[in-house]
Order: sequence, then C-alpha cells, then structure tokens
Amino acid sequence: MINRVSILTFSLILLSSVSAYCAESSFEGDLGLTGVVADINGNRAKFNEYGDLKTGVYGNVRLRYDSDLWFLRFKASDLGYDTQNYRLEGGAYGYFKAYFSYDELPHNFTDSAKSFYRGVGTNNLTYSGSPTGPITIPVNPNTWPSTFDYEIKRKTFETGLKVDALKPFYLTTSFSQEKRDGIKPNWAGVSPGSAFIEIPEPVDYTTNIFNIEAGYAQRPLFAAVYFIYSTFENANDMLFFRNPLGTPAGVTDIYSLPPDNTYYKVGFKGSVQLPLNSKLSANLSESRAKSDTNLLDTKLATATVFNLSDSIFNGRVDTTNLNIALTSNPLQFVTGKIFYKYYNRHNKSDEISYQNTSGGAIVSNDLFSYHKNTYGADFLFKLPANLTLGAAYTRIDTSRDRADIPETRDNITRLTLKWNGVDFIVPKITYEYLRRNSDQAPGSGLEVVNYTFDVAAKHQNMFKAGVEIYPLANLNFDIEYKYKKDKYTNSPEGLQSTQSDGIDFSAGYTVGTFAQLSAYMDYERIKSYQFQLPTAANNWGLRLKDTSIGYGIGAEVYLVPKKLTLILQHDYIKSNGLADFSYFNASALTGGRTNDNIDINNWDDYSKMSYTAKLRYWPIKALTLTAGYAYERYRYNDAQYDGYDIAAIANAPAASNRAYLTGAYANPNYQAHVGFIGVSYHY
Amino acid sequence: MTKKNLILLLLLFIIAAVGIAFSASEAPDDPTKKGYIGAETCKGCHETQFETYSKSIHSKKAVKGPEYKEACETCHGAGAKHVEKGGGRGVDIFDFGKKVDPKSRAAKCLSCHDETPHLANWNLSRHSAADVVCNDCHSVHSQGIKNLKMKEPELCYTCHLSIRSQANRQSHHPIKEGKITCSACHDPHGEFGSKMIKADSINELCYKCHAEKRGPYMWEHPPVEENCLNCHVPHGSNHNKLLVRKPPQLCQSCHALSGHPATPYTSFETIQGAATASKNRMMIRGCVNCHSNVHGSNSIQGTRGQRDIR
Repeated sequence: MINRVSILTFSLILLSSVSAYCAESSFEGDLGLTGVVADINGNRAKFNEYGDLKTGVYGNVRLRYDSDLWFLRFKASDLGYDTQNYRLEGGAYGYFKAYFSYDELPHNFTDSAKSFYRGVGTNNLTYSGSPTGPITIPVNPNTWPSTFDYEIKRKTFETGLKVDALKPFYLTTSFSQEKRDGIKPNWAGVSPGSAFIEIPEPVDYTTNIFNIEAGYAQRPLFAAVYFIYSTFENANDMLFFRNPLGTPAGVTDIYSLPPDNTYYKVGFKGSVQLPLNSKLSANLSESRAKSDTNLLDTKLATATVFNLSDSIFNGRVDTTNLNIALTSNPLQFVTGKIFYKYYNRHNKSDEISYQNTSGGAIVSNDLFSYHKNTYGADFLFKLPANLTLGAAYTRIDTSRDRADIPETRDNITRLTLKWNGVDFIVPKITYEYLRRNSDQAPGSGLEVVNYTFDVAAKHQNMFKAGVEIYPLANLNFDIEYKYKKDKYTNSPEGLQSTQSDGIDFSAGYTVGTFAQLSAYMDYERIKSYQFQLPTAANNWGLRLKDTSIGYGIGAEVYLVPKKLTLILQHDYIKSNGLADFSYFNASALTGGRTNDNIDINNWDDYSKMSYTAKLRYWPIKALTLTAGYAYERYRYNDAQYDGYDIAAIANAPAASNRAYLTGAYANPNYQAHVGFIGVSYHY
Repeated sequence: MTKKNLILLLLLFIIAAVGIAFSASEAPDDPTKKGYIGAETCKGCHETQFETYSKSIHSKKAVKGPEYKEACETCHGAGAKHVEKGGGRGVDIFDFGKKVDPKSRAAKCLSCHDETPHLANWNLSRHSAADVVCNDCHSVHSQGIKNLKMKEPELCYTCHLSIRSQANRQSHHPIKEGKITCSACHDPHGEFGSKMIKADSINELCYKCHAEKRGPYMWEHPPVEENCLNCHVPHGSNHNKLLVRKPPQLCQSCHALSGHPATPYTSFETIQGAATASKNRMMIRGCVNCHSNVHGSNSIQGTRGQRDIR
C-alpha cells in the first residue's frame, strides 16, 4: 500500500516536473501550509471521530494544467495525516479521462481502552491463569496487561478510466481497493443472555470492487451494459477468546466473524426517445453473492454436533431487478410517469440441519427470500393561477417466502400543490398517505415475534408544508414543516405508533459588498409508543420522546474588499430523550419501583457547541494568509452508559450481572480549543 | 416474474428501441445564423463572465461544446438585438435567471448533454419534476468540481434542510467531515427509485461500503436482509450506530411476546439502577451485548447462531 513518504515524494516530483513542462502553458495551482495547535480536554477519540486534528503542520497542494486538448489535475490535502487524500486525474478533452485517488479515513471510538486479554488486535485472545476453575481475572483493571485504542483506519485506493473518443460509444471502468484495519468493540454474552465480556475484535478487511460499463449514447437511443465484481476478504474468520464466564471457566470460546464473500452484478440499462416528448427507460440486472464457511470451525472444540447435514455452508443469494418507466410531457401543462419495478431476492444457500444432543430436536436454518412488485403513476399538472398540482400513486406487493413472515400490500397516494404566482414567495404543500395491508398472524410461526416494521399492517400519514421567501433580491428565507405518523393497526403488542414533527429554517442575507450572513434552525420531536402483552410481569407500556434542536449562524465580513475577510460561525445542537414507563399491573411494581421512579430522563441526551473565527488576508493577489481559532464542546448523558468505565465487574451482587468492560464507551465528553495559522500561495 | 418473462421484456425493449432509433430523424441544425455577434462582442461588456467561461471545460473545442458552436451565444442565444437595445438583464437574451421557465433553462443544457450517459435518466429525476434544473446547481462560469456552484453537502442542504439537521447529530456518516458526499449514494440526475439511490435496493447500496454485512449468512435476521433502514437511518441519528431507536426498545418493537425480550428494562436496570438482575440486558448496548451478531451468524454452537449470539 502506498505510504505517506512515497506519496509526498510523488507530489513533489509531480509538482516540479509539471511546472517545468508547462512553463509556457496554462498552469496554475496552490501550495498551502497550515500550522495547528490543538488543546483537547476529555475524549480525544470522540472529538476526532472521523478526523485527525492535532498539533502539527498540515499541507495542501493543488495543481491544474490545461490546454485546448489536454488537462491534468492534482489535489492533495492533509498530507501525512490519517485523513490524507490525493487525487490525480488527467486526459484529453472529449477523448478520455483517467484518475488515481488515495484516501484515508479513520473512525476513532476510544483511546486507551484496557483489557485483561493478551493478544489484543489478533484473533486469539488469551489470559494467564488456570484454564479451568473459578475466575482468575484481576478485579483491578489497572493490572490488566493490554492498553489499546478502539479505532478503524480505512485506506482506499481507486483508479478509473473513461473513454469517449469513439462517440457515441463510451466506456467507463474503475477498480477500488479498501483496506480496513483496527479494533472495534464487540461483546460476548453467556447463555442465557446475562453476564458478558467486552471483546476487542480485530478488523482486517479488504474489499475490492471492479466496475465496467460500455454503452451507446446518441439521440434517440441510450443503451449500456455493465458488470460489477466485488470481493470481501476478512483475515479473521473466527475470533478465539478464553472465556472466564464459559463452561468450564477459561474455555477457549469462538466468535464467528463475517465470512469472505464474492459478489457480481451484470446488467443492462437503456432509454429511447419516443414521440410526444416521451421517453422509455429500462434497467435489468442480475446479481449473485456467495460465501462459504467451514461450520466445524464455529463450534467449541469440546462440543459435539450430531447429524450435521453438511460441514460446509455454501451461502448464495441471487437477486433480479427490472425497472421500466415511461415518462412523457406531451402537452405544456402535463408531465407524467408510469413505472414498474420487479425485485427478487432468492436465497439459494445451503439448508443446514443438526442436533445439539443425540436424538435431540433438529435445528435448521430458515432461508429468507422475497420478491417485490412495485408499480404506479406520477403526474404533474400546470393549473391556472400559476398552480402546479402533483398526484402520484404507488402500489408495492411484497411476497416473503418464509412461513412466519407475512405478505404485505402497500398503497401510497401523494398529492402536492405548489404556487408560483409571484416571484418573492413560493409555497408548497405535500400530503402522502400509506396504507399497508398484511397477512400477519401475530404470535405464530417459526419465531415468536411480533413483526412491526416492514411487515405489519399500518396507516401512515405524512404532511409537509414549505415556503421559500425572497422579500429582497439579497435576502431569502426557507421554512419547512413536516409531520409524519405511523399507526400500526393490527399489532397486539410491541410498537404501536411513531410520530415525528419537525421544522427547519434557513436564511441568507447579502449586505451589499460588505458581508454575507446566514442562519439555520432545525427542530424535531419524535414520539413512539409500545406495550407488551398483559401478563402479570410484562404488562407495561412505554412512551419514548426524543427532541432535537439545532441552529447555526454565520457571517463572512469583507472588512477590506479583496484584502481582508472575517469569517464567523457558531453551531449548536442538543438532544433530549425521555423513556416514560408505565406498569399497568401494580403487583409487578416490586423492589421499590413506582410508576414515577422507573422512567429514564437521560436517554441519549447530548449537546454540542462550536465557535469558529477566521481571518483571511491577501497581501498580494497570489498569497493568502489565514489565522483563526475554533472551540468545540460536547456533553453526553445517558442512563445506559452512566457509571460505565473500565471495570472487571459491574454491579457484583449477582453472578448474572458480571461484566468485563474495556472502556469502549467511557466518558465521551470533550472540550477542544484549536488555533491555526496558514499560508497559501497561488501561482 | 419468471426469468423467461424478464428476457422477453428485455428483448421487446431492445427491439422497440432499435426500431425507434432508426426510424427517428435527427433534428435539423438551425439553418439561420442571423443575429449572432461573436464572443468578442460579448466580452466587451461581460469580461468577468467571459474569463470564467474561457477557463471552463465548455470553452474547449475538443469537447465539441459551446466553443465548437457559437461560444456564449450557444447558451444565451443570438445577441444582436440585445446589443442593439443597449443590453440589460434578460433583454432579448436568454439569461438563466430564476424567473425563466426551468424547463427552458434545462433544455438549453440538454441540447448538448442529452447524450451524456450520466444524464440518460434525467427524465426520471425528482429534481426535474420539482423544477430543479441544471443551473440551480451548476454554472458554466464556475470552476468548482463538476462546475458546481457550491461544494457538497452545502449545495444539497440549500433545499434539503432536514438532512443537514440529521447529518449534524452525534451519530452520523462522515458527511460534514467531507469524506462521504451526497452524490456517493444518490444520483441527482435521476434514478428509478424515489430517493434516486445508486443501487437497485437499499441493502445493495449499503453493502458497497459495508461488504462484511453482505454474508450470505447461514442464520439470517430477515429485517436486516430486507432493508437496512428498518433499524438504521442513513444520514444521522441521536442514537449510536445510526439506529432509529435505542436497544433494547428497538429490538422490543418486534421481539416482545415472551421471555426476557418482553421484560421491561427501566431506570432500575441501568448500571446505576437499584435492580440486581437483568442489568446486563439493559446497560450499554442493551440486547446487542449478547446478541451481537445481529447482522447474521454462521455458528452451529448450540443455539448461538440461531439467536444471533456469536
């Protein structure tokens, strides 16, 4: 894989050679250096969840060469950091374009986690002590041998070629390889689902994707065939770990990790212009995903599986997709679309059966296949008085080939109305109604579950109203309100309803040549209600409420036009969650519980606030100097995580509550001050 | 629908397409070149616009675009009358302003780009239907990536206000960090589905980056296999892992009938709660503490795989 030094060297060679070659050509670019001083108090990983902002010097390069025929572009940012990105593209206008890119993306979870395991980062987690018998793990985590960061680094290399020299024929092809490397938190529970261990799971994935598409594009016909081939390789198919909570204690336990897989897709897409300003479009594709796993690797060495039908599981899922759409604009005042989609997921994997005990019940996997038929029409009518009316209907029939999962039929109707009567205000309203019928038979079937999501009967009402306002040429407002409610009409328990209300606002104002001001505000409240069957222990209901509010204000002030600019930005977001429980049977209120003290008031509560101030100064046209300061503060409060820390045992009274925690989610709060100063030269 | 029917439909489409393609006559070139004044004349008043145009791909003769035709007047129309009347915004000239009919503005671009492969589905685009057309996002006079007027996602946020709100939440894809663009998943120029995603299904789209979830697994979790969005939201969430609700309540939305899935997990079962049992089913990740292979498993150890435990 390309390392940082070689990329930096390559950048410099490219810069110098292109500069020399293009001395008399149209050539321009930027070279920038930014020095950063970062003071982060608290959780550095959360602050840098997808970043690598730290004290140091960041470099950026941009090159651009143009002639009437040839072009070359090079862009590099965050040189040498975990977020570095490089892209080189070039070609001949109208003939071909080729590119290479390299990108790094970190995902940081936690710094300085601890584990009693040795071998963290590998797929073999061990610890010292007796292989059997009572727990020998030190209770004091300070004595644990492994300190590590939960983080995943993605490195993606991509190259591609687009050829359109033989117009109207064209060819595009690309290849990308993404490597993911790191450690992520995982969990292993002890049957029947009580005590558990946080396990550092190694991530060592490689995903390759190859694409090729060839086609013909000349009015009135467009036609193309395409092929996608992808492989996924996991260097660790299994994770072995000594389980202090297993039977016997200390036994080497096994965790099955994502298997290697291959995937391909082949397809055709096309469209043809028809009379009456109409167009027929189609897309047909077939895909296949495959994997295979040696099942004997997934069981404990000490366990016996009886009458295993096949020791190798061959996974295979085929999909078929067909889209056909006819669009038409035969008259000035009407635009229409009719469409049909067929999607079939056919699981052709092996059906495996076995017995856990000799002569015991046969266990077998239930393959899940389904197919959807979607069709409908969508029309827009230009009405008198500058009104536009939209009317659409969609029908989705879904058949699921598993006895315990019902078929559903969706009927979706949508109406929109928009008014363009005046230039300075454009209101629009939308109403959508979904009615889902389901063959659901609650509580029956292979699994005793109460299906609610895509397969439960429901009514959904959605209403949206928005208005764009332009009172002045340099002032605009955009306001949108959205209401959506799902009511599950035939679910005797579980989720019964969800409702969301949200309002979003944005504004922009240009103060002559002096400043540009902007602001936004978002508010959303989501409520849901669920309850359980009326048995003595489980007769309870829950109202969840999740409220989010965010806003931002920004200004770009041109203190000295084209010389000195001040940029200010402030953003704030806050979430407040409430879980309001009710026991309907007083006899279940035991152990000091009352209907007032069982609620959870801190349910994913958090706030994030940030300020940025930046000055840009151009002493000469080609030179930009930047200096600034940024502040960000994050506070998180949640009952599931309150009291969570690196610990050997969380709440010890009962063995079933035992837990070994590595600190994966400990205290995400942070406060960061960042100062920066930069120089950029444009040539 | 059987495979035979699918092939038949495809054949019908190809036959119809080829037939129509060969029978259709090409639109004749405009024989009148009256009223064209040339770019140098335009430059006299519109120097900035001419400069930006000159640096753009549209000015390259090799692409057989405006420079190959009538330069400025390829898009803005013949300028003689505009000049005769002393100029002015929209005075006998096509100016691409908001007051101009969106379809007319799009038609100017499509007169060349109708044959651009990635615009083949423009007729299916929700943007087109909503009168959001080419020059609302692009400018011939912009030198940004793909001639965009702003970078993603800010460009998209100018209309999709609620998406910005979601992407700002504590659990999010790296959209605001600039590592994923809106157009990585959506095709603004049109796709068959209502959200214009670049795949035939939601799961196919997600598996492009999350290939480890592709399986195929021996033990499947049907809601996972049918639609990732049953449990996740794509742009951002207040809840970890972009979940629509927190476990255990998310899981209890379906798994609610009996046994420990039906047990209430209240403030008493939190780490600092007063209960002495069931805490490990509630604290931290809830159900996923034990059922951590919720996306699928290949384990034949007891009922672990069947219950997505390992």
